[in-house]
Amino acid sequence: MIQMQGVHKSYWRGGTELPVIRGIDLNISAGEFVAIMGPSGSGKSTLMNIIGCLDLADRGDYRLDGERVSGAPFSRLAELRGQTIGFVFQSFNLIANRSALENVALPLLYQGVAREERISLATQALQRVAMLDRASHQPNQLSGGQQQRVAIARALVNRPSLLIADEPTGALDSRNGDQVLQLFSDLHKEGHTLVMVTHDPLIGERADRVVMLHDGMVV
Amino acid sequence: MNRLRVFIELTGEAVIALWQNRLRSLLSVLGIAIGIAAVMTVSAVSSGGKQFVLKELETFGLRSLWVFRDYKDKDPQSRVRDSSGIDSRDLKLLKGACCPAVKRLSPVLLAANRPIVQNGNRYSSAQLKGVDANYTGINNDRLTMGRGFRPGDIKGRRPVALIGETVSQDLYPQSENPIGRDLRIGGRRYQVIGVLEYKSRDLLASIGSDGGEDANNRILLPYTLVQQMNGNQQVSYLQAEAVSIAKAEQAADQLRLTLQRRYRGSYQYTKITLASYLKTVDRILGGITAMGVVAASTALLVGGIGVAGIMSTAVVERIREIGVRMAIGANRRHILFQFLAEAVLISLAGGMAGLLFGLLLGGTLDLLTGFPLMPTLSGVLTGLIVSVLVGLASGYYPARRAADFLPVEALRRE
Ligand SMILES: Nc1ncnc2c1ncn2[C@@H]1O[C@H](COP(=O)(O)OP(=O)(O)OP(=O)(O)O)[C@@H](O)[C@H]1O
Ligand SMILES: [Mg+2]
Repeated sequence: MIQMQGVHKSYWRGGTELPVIRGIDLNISAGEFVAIMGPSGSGKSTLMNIIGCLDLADRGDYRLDGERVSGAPFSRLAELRGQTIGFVFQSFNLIANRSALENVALPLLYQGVAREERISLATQALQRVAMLDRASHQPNQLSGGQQQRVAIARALVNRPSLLIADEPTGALDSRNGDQVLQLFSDLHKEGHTLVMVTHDPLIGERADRVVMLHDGMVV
Repeated sequence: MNRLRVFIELTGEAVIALWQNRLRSLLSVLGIAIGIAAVMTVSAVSSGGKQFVLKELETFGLRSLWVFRDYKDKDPQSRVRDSSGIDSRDLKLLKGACCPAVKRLSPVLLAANRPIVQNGNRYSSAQLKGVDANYTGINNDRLTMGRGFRPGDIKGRRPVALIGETVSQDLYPQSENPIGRDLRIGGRRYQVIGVLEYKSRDLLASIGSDGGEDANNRILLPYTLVQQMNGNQQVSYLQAEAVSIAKAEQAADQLRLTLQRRYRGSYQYTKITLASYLKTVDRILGGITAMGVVAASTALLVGGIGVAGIMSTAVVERIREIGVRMAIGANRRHILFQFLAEAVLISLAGGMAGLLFGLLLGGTLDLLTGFPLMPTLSGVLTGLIVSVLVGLASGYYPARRAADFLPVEALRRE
């Protein structure tokens, strides 16, 4: 599913190069659950953003389902984000002033799905994360755990083949965190490919594989 | 089909965003509305004003021209110093082949003294004019009753008269039909054969450019009779109609130069054409309109800058939302379109509000002043198109900025 070879990424600050990803080779096959761990600042989020087509590598080769992502036009990257990838953020990133249902249905709008079908698919996705009873609530009327479950429903609504989560429990208390993790675990069992950044070694144990990052390199 | 649906739905997203910031949206709508209303009003006032002036000038006949002696250039050696420089014999010549640009021509005679005009013990202060059978046609005079002069009336010096509305009211009771009635001018009896239609020259009278003549307080007589009254063969001046407005100057010159050649060394002649007035009116109104348009466009520009400012603020505030939308599948065109749609919707709403406001304002002014303000269909369409263009122009830069973010960059902003 994911094939990375020699991927590099640097930030530039005040004319000096700050290498963040320094030559990463990574292969993840379909159906796998991979946990990415490592100390703060080791480049985990940067790597996830590249995998999720939110950011671009400077160098190296990245293929998703065999398709070259590095060098693809912006419009194709948008398609990949909309059709192939579901991204879950640490900070939920729901759109304020919109109901849970509207938030979950929004990715379908960009795929040209008709309104009735958007609502029906979004309803199903909310049901999947057990949030259907809060469909009409706005984000600020939901707890952190509930918001994250809505965000997961949004990531699922386009039936993506790849789920990416960057510290999805980082902003949650342990009880809510456990619920969210259980959900991801179930999704993996249903066959989703899952890549998750975490600091929690217990989560690492549930994963098929743990990739340790240190200073922008896999160790 | 699916693609089209995306853009329709994004317009809906734009509407929702505007609604969520409705106070702010309303203010920027207002900015555009004022600009569009200003442009509308200026164009309506100028076209209405032109129509208005044209309507009054039409009461002279738009192809009319006047030729008369230029008294300023009086030759001190001349033997016939006090003459008007035109007499009955000249008329024959001028009606001939000399002047192909002239369609028809009438002498005009003003009575030398002011004879008393009366019907029994009713009096009139009317101005007397001697003319021939062509005159009413040239001067765009219509009759509400009776008939006009016939060549026989002129040649035969028949004592017949055409009278204006005011004269009719002054001399005859309202219930009485003046046609066929008598009136006395300087003791001599005339028969009324026609009543001239009312002519509005309110605007011209108010700016003092109608020559001090009240068009409704006139009595027209066969010029041959006025010559008799005056005791000579002179003609005060000529009024003629050119074959077209474009040929008016040429026609006037043909008459003027023919007279000038005939009386070389004695008289100079001068001319006035209504066509030259039309040009002046056009120039003045054009100048006023241009100034108004500049002022109104400034208002519109300020409105447009307001929209650009609001949209820039919106992009900064919603940068994270933009990042989220990109993360779930929006491409650059989608983002660009949504923000452009917001800007265009604001200014289109402003345009429609401005048009409505302009129409109400025009209608009210029309009612209050009777000054016809005419918003044309093309003016309305132009207003709408302009407001869409203003929206596109003021929304483009902020929308472009929003669309050019990389998703990570947008998501990182607070
Ligand atoms: N926009 C940026 N500009 C400059 N440097 C950046 C930027 N984003 C990240 N970095 C740097 O890149 C390095 C890696 O950042 P990244 O967010 O990938 O780390 P991380 O492993 O996700 O850390 P954490 O566990 O704290 O989330 C850090 O040193 C960070 O300071
Ligand atoms: Mg991170």
